[in-house]
Amino acid sequence: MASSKPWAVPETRIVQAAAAASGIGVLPLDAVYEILLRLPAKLLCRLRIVCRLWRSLLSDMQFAAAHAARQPGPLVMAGYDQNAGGGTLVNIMDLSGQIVKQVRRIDGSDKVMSMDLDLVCVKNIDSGIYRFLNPATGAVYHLPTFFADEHMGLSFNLIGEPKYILGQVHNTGEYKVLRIFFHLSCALHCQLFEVCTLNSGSHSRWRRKESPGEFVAFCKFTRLVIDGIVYLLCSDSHRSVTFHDQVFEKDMIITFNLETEAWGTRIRGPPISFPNDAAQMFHNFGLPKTKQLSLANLHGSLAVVHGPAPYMDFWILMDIDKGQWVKQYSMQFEQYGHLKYVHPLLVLGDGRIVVHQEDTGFLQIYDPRTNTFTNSVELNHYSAVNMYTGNLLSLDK
Amino acid sequence: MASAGSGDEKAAAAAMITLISSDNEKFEVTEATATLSQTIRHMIEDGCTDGGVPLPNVTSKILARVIEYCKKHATAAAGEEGSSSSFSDAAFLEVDRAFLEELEEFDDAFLEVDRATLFDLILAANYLDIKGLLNLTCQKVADSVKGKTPEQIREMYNIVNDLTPEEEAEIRRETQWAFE
Repeated sequence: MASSKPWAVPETRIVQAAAAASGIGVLPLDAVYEILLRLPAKLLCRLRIVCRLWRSLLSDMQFAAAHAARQPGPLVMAGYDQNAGGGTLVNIMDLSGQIVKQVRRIDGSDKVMSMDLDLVCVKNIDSGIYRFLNPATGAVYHLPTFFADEHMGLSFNLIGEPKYILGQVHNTGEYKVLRIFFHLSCALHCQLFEVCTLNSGSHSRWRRKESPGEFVAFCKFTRLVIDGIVYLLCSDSHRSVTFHDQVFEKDMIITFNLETEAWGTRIRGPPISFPNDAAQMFHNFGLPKTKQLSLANLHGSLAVVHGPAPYMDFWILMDIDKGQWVKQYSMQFEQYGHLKYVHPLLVLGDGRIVVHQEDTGFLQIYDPRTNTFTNSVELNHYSAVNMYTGNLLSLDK
Repeated sequence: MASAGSGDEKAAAAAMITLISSDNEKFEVTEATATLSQTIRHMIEDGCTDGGVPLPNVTSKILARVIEYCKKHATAAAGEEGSSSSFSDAAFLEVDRAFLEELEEFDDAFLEVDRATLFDLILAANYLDIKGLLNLTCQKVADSVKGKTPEQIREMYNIVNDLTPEEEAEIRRETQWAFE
């Protein structure tokens, strides 16, 4: 089973619609369908055991899509560090903090490293093994254990943790992982790159990729995938902006196409400005002059977030070919003891922005019209947080 | 479907339609009320409403309730059209809000019926294709289903469990999280 359908592609999984005409009890199926659409996902999963017809209706991807479209709001997933969270590894909740799905912890030394799309990246701290987990279906994808052939024998000189970047190939829905690690023995380019396809079988291999000839930043939120394109902040640009208040005269972002597995367009950064008073204010607060430069996905567009000065600016990439950026939002902080990240996760329909403010440990809703933040969900205890883009009724394995 | 403003259009909107229930009771309603039902709207468009519209699937008891709903909501729809096209004053928005609240209260009171009647209303709303009423009644049933076990739901809907114990166990395994 698993090998014939190695990855989840919801669009292609069209189950025969439940026997259309036959009614259930006193109500026709149309009406039952309408009623079921109005129930929470967890209850619907339980109701699959009511009878055959309900099982087939509630396992149908068209029903799942119709159900998802009706849900009042976006879902956030948050995962725990090792030995945290009691018996829970992952919570999926709405913006009011109401938990709609929980994944139980099976091993105390599991740590949630990151979360993207509908998958959770888990590292078992004891064994050092990484795996990706689908919280809706329970499907587990193991990463290949070794290195790409060309990188064999390098394992002794690795520095630090490799970074794993998950994305989905735009056309096929196939999951791929790009990983980057530092290696001591390579004098010139000691960042190494490998890519692999995620599947639930065990035959996946790491494939070596040439270095882009540029160091990529290893800090938080300096890498991102949108529609199968990996965006990586260059290390030089990152350092220049965050430490020296200068825009580096080189491209700021490099791209990697997960489908073709080739490096792509390089992107000039936005025309960042540095408020005159920022340095002075940092000095007054006795804070080191470190600022945030990070990447975010706003409405499917690449955004560069720059701060914390008194302002946190969000630049949106309008035209990748022309390198055209627009400063879409500028958050203003009354106080900025913030040395932790402010990470925007989502733009709501009314223009408000969901941000994870690590300083306060809250998911907050930012209203650009009034420049105010409203606390939404407390996230202090989690080790990773992101929007959940999957479907909780999904059954793909 | 322009706004119900001028005298001529008002006269047209006041054209009466006769609905005939399964037990042969006749109900006179305005076209504006009747056309909340897509089914009847199509019949009017096709010009086959002379001599009344027979509704063999709806009893007089249920049809009376459905008409009650449509009358209230037809007024609401006319009000909305008027306000959105010509008024945007805060005062009018206030009036709108008050009216919406009143409508909500009406809906709440409307749903105070026993389960058999509620199901009959769903059937009628489905047959007559009245979106608002279908939404309202289905939501009511959905709310009553929340917190029920699969067994209770089978009983509620007269559903026979045709799954084998093995299949049931498999479903539980597939979505274990939902049963915790």
